[in-house]
Amino acid sequence: MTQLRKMIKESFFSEVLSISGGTLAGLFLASSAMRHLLENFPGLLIMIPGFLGLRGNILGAVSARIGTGLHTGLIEPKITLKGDTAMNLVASLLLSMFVNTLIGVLTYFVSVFLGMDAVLWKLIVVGALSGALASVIVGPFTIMLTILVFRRGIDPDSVMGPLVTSVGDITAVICLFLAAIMVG
Amino acid sequence: MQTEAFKRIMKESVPALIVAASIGTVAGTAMQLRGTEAWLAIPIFLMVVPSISELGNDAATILSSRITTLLALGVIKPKLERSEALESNIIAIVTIGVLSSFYMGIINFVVADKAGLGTTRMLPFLATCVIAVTLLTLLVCVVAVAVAFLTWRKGLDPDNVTIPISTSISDLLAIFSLLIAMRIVGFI
Repeated sequence: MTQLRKMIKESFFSEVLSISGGTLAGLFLASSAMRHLLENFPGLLIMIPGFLGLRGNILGAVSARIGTGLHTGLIEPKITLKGDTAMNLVASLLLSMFVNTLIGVLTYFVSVFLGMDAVLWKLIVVGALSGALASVIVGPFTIMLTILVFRRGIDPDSVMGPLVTSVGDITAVICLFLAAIMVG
Repeated sequence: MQTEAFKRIMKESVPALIVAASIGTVAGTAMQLRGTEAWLAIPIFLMVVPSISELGNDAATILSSRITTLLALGVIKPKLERSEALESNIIAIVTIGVLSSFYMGIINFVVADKAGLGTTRMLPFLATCVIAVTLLTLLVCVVAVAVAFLTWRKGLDPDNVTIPISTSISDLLAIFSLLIAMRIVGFI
C-alpha cells in the first residue's frame, strides 16, 4: 500500500505537469494561426496524432532504456553524452526522421483515399523537418533529466514518461507549425 | 558492445515504430473523418486532444515501464495470473487517470475560456473529459499488459517494442474515447 501511495504521489505530480504541457500544446494547436493552417494544408490534421505520439514512442523508450540501465547498474548516473547515452541519442534522431517521413507518406495515401488535395512532397518534408527539429531539442533533454531524476532518488519509470511527452508535445506542435509554414 | 546494442535498438524499434506510425495515422484518419470544419467549429475539443493523448500515453508508458522492470527483476511472470504487484500498478494507473481527468477538464476549460476558445459550458465539458479519460485508462491497462507480456514471451526488449506499440494504440484509443464521450454527453 505504501508503494501504491508512493507511485500515485510521484506520478500524479508529473501528470499535473504533463497535462499543463498538453494544455499549452493544445492552446497552440487551437490557435487561430494553426487553425488557418489546418484549413489550408490538406492532410495536416491527419498527421497530428502520429506526431504527438512520436515523442512518447521514441523518447519514452529512450528514457525507459536509460532508466533500466540505471536500475541494473549498467549505466552510471553521470550526465555525459558518451557511450550508451550518446548511442541512445543517435538512435532516437534516426528513428524520429524515419517515422515522421513514414507518417507523411501514409497521410498522403489516406488523404488521396478521402478525396483530399494533398501534396506528397510537402507532407514528407513537413514530417522529416518537424521530426528532426523536435528530436534535436527534446532528445538531450530527456537523457539529462532521466539521470537527474534518478540521482534525486525518484524512480524515472514513474515520472519520465509524462515529462518527456509533455515537453515533446509542445515542441512537436511548434515544430509542426514551423515546418508547415516553411513548406507553405 | 555499443554497436551491437545500437543495432538491436534499430532492429527492434523500426518494425514497432512502423506499426506505431500506422496506428497514429489511423487515429488521424478518425479525426479527419469527423471533418476539419467540425473540429475547428468547437476548438476547445481540438485543444484537449494533446492533453488526452498525453494522459493515455503517460498511462501506457508508466505501466509498460513498470511491467518491464517487474519482468526484468523476476517479480512477475508473463502469464495471466493474479499478481499483487501488477494489480497495485493497475489500480494506481486508473486512480491517477481519473484524478487527472478533473484537472485536465478544468485547466483546459479555464485556459480556453481566457483565450476565447471556450464555446461550451463547463460541466458538460468536464463530464466529457472524465468519461473519456476513465474509458481510455481502463483500455490502456489491458493493452499495456497484453503487449508487455507478448513481447517479453517473444524475447524482444520491451523498452524498444512495448512502449511504441502501447502508446500508439493509446493514441488511437484517446481519439475514440474522446469521440465516444462527446457522443455520450451530446456534443456530436
